[in-house]
Amino acid sequence: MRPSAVAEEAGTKPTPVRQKIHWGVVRRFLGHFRPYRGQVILGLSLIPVSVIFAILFPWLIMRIIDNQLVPMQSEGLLFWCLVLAAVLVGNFLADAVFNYSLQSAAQYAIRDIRAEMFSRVLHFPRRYFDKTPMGVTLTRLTSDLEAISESFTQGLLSMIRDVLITIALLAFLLFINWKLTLVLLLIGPLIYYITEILRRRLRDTYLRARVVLSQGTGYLQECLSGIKTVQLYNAEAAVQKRYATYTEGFRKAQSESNLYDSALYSIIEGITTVSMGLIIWYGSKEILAATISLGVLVGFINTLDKIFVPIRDFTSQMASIQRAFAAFDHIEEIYEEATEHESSDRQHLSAAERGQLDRFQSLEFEDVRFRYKADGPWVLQGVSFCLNRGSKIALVGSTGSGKSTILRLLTKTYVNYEGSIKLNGIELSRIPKAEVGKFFSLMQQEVFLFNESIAFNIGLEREASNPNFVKDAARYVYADEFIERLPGKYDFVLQGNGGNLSAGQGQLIAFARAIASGSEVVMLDEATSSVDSVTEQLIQKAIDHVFEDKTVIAIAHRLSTIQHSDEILVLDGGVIVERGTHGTLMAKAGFYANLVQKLDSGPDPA
Amino acid sequence: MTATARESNARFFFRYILHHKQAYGWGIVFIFLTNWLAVSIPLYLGESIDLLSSDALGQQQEALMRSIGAVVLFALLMVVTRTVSRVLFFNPGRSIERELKDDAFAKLTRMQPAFYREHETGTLISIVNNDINGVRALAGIVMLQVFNILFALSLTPLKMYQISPSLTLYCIFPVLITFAIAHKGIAFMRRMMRLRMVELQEMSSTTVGFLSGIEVIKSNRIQGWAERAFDRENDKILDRSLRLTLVRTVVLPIIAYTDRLLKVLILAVGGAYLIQAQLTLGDLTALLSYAALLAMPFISLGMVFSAWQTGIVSLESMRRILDQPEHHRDKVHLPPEKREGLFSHHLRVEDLSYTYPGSDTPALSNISFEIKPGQMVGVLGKVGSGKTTLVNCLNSYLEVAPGSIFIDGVDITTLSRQDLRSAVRTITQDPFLFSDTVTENIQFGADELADPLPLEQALHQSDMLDEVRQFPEQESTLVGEKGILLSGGQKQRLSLCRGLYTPCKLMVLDNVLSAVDNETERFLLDQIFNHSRSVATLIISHRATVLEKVDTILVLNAGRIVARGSHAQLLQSSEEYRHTWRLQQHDNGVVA
Repeated sequence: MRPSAVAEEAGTKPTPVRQKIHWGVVRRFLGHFRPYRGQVILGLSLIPVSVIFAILFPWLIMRIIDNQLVPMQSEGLLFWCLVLAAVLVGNFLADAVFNYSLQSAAQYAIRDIRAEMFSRVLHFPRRYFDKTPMGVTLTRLTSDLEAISESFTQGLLSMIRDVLITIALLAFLLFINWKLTLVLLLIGPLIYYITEILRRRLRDTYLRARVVLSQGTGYLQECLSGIKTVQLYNAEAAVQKRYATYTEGFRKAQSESNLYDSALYSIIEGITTVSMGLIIWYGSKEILAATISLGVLVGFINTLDKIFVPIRDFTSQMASIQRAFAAFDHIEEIYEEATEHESSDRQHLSAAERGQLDRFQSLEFEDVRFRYKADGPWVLQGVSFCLNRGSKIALVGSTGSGKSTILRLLTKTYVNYEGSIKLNGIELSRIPKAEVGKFFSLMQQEVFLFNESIAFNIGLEREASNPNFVKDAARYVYADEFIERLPGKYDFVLQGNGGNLSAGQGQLIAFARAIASGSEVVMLDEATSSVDSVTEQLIQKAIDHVFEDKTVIAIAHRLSTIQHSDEILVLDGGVIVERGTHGTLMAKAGFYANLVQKLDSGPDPA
Repeated sequence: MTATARESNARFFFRYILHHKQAYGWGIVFIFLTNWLAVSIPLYLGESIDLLSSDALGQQQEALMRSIGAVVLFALLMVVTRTVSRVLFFNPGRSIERELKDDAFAKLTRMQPAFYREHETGTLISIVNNDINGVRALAGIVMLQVFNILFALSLTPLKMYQISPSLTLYCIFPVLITFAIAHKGIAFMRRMMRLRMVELQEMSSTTVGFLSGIEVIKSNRIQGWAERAFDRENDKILDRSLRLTLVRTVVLPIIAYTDRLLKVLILAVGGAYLIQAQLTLGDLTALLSYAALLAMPFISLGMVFSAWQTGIVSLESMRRILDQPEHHRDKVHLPPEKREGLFSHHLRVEDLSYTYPGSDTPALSNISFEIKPGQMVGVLGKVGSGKTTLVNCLNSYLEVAPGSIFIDGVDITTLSRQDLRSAVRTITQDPFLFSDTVTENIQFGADELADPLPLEQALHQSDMLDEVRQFPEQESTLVGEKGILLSGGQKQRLSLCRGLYTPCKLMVLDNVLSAVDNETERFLLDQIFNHSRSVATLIISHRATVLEKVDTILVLNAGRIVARGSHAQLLQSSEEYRHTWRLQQHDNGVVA
């Protein structure tokens, strides 16, 4: 019972805002550009070209005003205007190549990140899925990456170049007239200060908005998955009310950011115009003193927007960059979570040990203790038993006695057990999950079916996947009969987790899937539970097959299954209270006998 | 959705816009003020340049200061008007986003199974989450820019024309040409973006599928297959993004170069005029400023067009949810007292048959039976016999033909589903639990229901109390997504607890004890039979032992009732019943 820390925290109090950019995250992100460095280098090398063109433009304007217009010199006006036009075209071409090469590289990198994240998610331990609603993971893979992608297309890269151009232009203006430029530079800190304050608030609200959005998505996803429950309980209005709290929270956070965003945009624009006034005011004195020309003054005014526009764009792009950084932080969750690869590959097996794992020999539990949460109650409190090749063990006990937990430990769904579990004499925690998986196949009461053909759902594209192999597996569990009656037979495509089959049929498919895996040990988890008695008979026959040539560990509710077992382990509260065969346990007249008695003394056939 | 009856996109959109007409109205006033201030400023700039270039600069210091003062004052005023106008447009945009999301969600909660068969959850989520952004932009930035452009494009040329009519006309041409090029580019981009959105939705659906089946993928080690399937979708999106990038980086920037192009033109042509003394340097400066003001709406226009197109696509997408017709029966609700009185006589099934859409064999044929207050009726049948179909007909999860099911003589197809379900409570065999606390899950849907049990007692009755006590935070413990950390039996019992929490009229238990062990089953049956607060109970099972104590058992086979009667009667009369019962007795009774 691990509560979802993220959701709980974010639901009640505002998440503490991370003020600084996490450079580690950014560095990892940039690492994904490595395969596309050719494009990146081409793009970057065009920056100086862009910068030179950007300086030439105002310089030519000043020149035209001072040399042509003020002295009323019409000769050469056309020529210089053509040069100006040529500079413009050159600038356009350089910009286009720069933008395309870098932005396409970013798209490639995002594709790679998405694939990498998905692959990580596929290898996350069960714990991750216990604490993270699916909608959150989906948001990471879609909306968050979209935010980053958007940030690139909306000119994150051109912004970097624009900043360089601003600096170059300032240097150029300093060179032309340092006093006039100083007036501009005085405004600099003011702009910086205003941007800083508003930017910080913006980032706050964006982060908050994203958290609420993600919660809302999670809730939406749950309600849609459980739509039948919602409707059958007449709970439509109740869930609508709850969902509205998320949408309202999102709206509030966004409206706040609207104010900051708008103010930022307008203030910078206002400052640009005010500086024009200031320049003219100061310039008037300089012109009186004849230290600058009119051309320079007009040139300055016309360049102002080229200096301030990047800052203004900077602020309008800020929104998407904020989103991108919030998204970076979110994506980081996927990278911070350890995958099972990493946690199990740490200790390598020696060659000899790998040889030992050739085929299943024995499984030994020794004083195994386990709890789901570090401070939770113990679910297993010192369980010891041994399963040898070919033998069959039945786990019996009331719900919550720890039966399912034993199977979960075997599949390495959960790993942090105490005591020792040895597979062929090797500690289970040292064996990679994939290796363990080859030995066990799970017949579960919970069925999941892909929206693919029946053949795929049984064979799952495993090495041996061929029609006969699939059919054999289906025949093994007596599922072939109903499959043959379906339109398209084995090519019949399932939909909505097998919604176009009956529950029992779906279970038979999942059953066939377990058989098809060809594992040596079958773990049976109440697989017969919701199947009617005739089908149950069929499956019982299939289980007899399984019992003949496989090793079995079963959570059994039916006496017939229990009786086929070599050893019965009776669990209660995480402890094995009794063990033995059906006969010896009955003779003992203890817990098990009592249990069986209760089974037996059911409703009287009146 | 017929073409004639369908509301146009514009009408649909303006219905939402009108909710905020005041904000938008003031927004328009402020955006006009902003534009008016913007076109006034270059005039004062030009005036001051003329003063500077005049020979008598020394005497005109005061006039110069006045012009500069006007520039600064107007600039400061503009900061205010611009901020206010943006907020006045963006906030309603956000509110409309919220309204649309809430409406879409409300609609989704009322949609019937047929809808969910056609639409995958991932796609629906993507519509509500991603497509909404396009609509919000439409209600916010697009609305703002439409008026901004409208005012800018009328005021700027007007002012320019006052300075130099011919130069204004010269400027119009390049503006129109770049606009035409950009327009083509945007049309292409719009097409690409729409396709990209569809591809993104597909990827969401695929991902949801894989995440739901993560345990199967992991335990069968087919991550490689899942990754390949994911990569295919991922590559499609990349391909689309690259095409979009090409247009964005090569075609669309042409618009952004318009203002500089205009400046070159103004310098060349205006320079010639100046030399001919038709213009002053101040005029030229003002015109150069206007170049930026004239080009800006076109830059925005490009943005507005693309946002508009995306917005319409998104709106269409949203309407796939919002325009879903609702069944007329659900629009009329019973008055409370009538609703209270439902199921005071009986629920009668008369000759009910049901065939799933697309199937040719009926799932249920000629079913007739009756259940009265105070009765317990059992339905026995094997997998595929139509048990769950019957349940889903009774609670109108499936749509039955009129004249098949009556409650107190009223055809249930004339009742709203909400009314019907207030009388018929179904506890399904595949319980769904929310990622929420145990308490919240139990109280789910019980907000307005009277007389709940003390939580503890409800937990006890469903044999969950001891286990919940063991949970780290007892009743406040969160159960994982879909209650993942609970065993199947625990989930069923929690769902049973949810059903027992408030009294109900007809309680339908659809094979709800399938995943609990025998001992627990016995206890729960006792609770259901002897301590339930339901007026009547219909209990469905594939196990005869569960049903031994009910008043009447209906034996269902291949969608037909093949036998009916009490346990004792059926043992006598029905071969099938006897057979099933023996088999299951054998199961439980080897020891004896």
